[in-house]
Amino acid sequence: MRQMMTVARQAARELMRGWWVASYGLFFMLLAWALFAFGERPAQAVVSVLDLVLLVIPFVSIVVGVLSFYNSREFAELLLAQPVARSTVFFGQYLGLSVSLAAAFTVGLGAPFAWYGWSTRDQAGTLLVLLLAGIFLTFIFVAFAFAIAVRTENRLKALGAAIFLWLFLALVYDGLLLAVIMAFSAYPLEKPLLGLCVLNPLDVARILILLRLDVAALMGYTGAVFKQFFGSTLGLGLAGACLAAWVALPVLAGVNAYARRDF
Amino acid sequence: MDAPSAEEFDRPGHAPSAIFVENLTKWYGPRQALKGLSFSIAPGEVVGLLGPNGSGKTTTLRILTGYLRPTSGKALVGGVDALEDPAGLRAQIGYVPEDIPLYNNMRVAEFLSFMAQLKGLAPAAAARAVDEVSERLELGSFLKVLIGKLSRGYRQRVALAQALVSDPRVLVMDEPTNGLDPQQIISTRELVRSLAGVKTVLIATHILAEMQKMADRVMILLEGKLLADHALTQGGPTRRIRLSVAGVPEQVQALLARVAGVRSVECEAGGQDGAATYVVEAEPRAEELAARLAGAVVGHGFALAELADVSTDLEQIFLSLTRRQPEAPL
Repeated sequence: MRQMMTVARQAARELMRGWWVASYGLFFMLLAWALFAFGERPAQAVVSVLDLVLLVIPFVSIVVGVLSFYNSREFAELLLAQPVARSTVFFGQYLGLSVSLAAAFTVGLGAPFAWYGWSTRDQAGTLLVLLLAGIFLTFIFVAFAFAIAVRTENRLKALGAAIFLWLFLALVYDGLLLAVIMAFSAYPLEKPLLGLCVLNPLDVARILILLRLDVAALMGYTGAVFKQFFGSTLGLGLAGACLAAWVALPVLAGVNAYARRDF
Repeated sequence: MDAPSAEEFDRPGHAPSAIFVENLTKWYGPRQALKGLSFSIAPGEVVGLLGPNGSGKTTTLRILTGYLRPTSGKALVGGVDALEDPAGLRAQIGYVPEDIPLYNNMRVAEFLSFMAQLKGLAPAAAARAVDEVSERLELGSFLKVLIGKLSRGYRQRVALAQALVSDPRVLVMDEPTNGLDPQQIISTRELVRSLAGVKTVLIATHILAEMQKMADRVMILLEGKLLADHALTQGGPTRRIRLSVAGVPEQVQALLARVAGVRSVECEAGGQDGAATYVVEAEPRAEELAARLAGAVVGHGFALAELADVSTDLEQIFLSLTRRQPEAPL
């Protein structure tokens, strides 16, 4: 465990030295400040931030994840010749990167919310869900990045695959869902739709945040079903478990490949 | 010379090997990099692994450091198997890779402390180990310098320091003198020689001259196979001189055997004009041996037709072995 933390600290330090993480946090800070300063209602600001969170966090996490993994391969020969398990090196690098990005996002986004006095129980709850969703998405997409990069020798191919995956989950998947809804509009689709949404971590994050806001009322019967499900302890637990599974699956796939591969 | 069999290394009465490799093979897709490699290295030996580029040197080192897995065969360091306990095996080794992959943004002390902790040392012990190794390698005044600002020679020294920081039993170095200037080469050589007898050192290189000065023994590798395993004169057990002398063989043999430093004399074959060939084995550091042998022969009225030092000449061995092999398939 101590060795894993040593690798994680080193990975985080390397990332911090490149100013990437600071710029990333600053981006969320300026964005949230601008939305609060120029928006009419705070809820509107949250919806706008949400859209950006759902697009920017997965993109930055997966791209920086792939690039960081390839940069660290330069040192793999040295690190993997040390008396540490390969899984320790993998988890250390994964944690170092994920925690750095998640911390930058949390501080960057949390500061303007605190500045604008989001302190009531309800507001704090919404902010907490927003931050948790962003943190989960960071861990999920860095895990995707590592799982892809560890299997691909060529950096550009890995980057291409990563961007394709981001595009699919962020845009194409929802387009396909809409097509299904249109095609089967005569049928009650709320429950199957619930299942399909759970298969995409971005949709789970989006639903969890939207249901904290008034806009859920605009979603009609489907919104009511979703609110009933995700509003319950079981639904929230399931959503959390689902996001955790989305972290665990690519991490396990990545660590498994890392342990077996010849560099 | 045939590659020695693995059984020879493990025969009863021999000291346990620091490094033991048996029938090691490694395939990279369709290409076989190692073809049943076997060798053994005793504790305290400094051994050179010689071979042209692509002969399998780096693959061998990478398997020994646990970075690569062998396709088949056995690799043990300090009795620990690379496949059964890779982390245990790596704990015995300090490794200096070829391209010195160091974190340019880190300061020397920070990097050495990081590596020491990665090797399992607690922070306080790591700090002590960094102090010791930096003093030993004369890095004390560079501890606060960014690695990216160091010269190639000092980077090499830092790479060596990280390998030695946990005081491993075995030091494995891949092309340690690559890109160094003559002064730096000499200091690396002196450092390696200072470790002889204290640590087992395995060095892969394609620079013959360096090996002759650094190693006690060399193994020559070509296309994944061990072609030869030679003790070197410098650190090896004997020096050999060949003489061609005309005279009564028994008398000449007895005369040569009396010369100081001579261990044995063998009469090999008859030469021209009634001269016979004698091979004298002597102590490696016997001074002016050739002159004393010549003086003894001529002083007793025998005709000396030829005298040649036939001690191991690494370059000759290497060239004769590698010339015999067919071209590597593209």
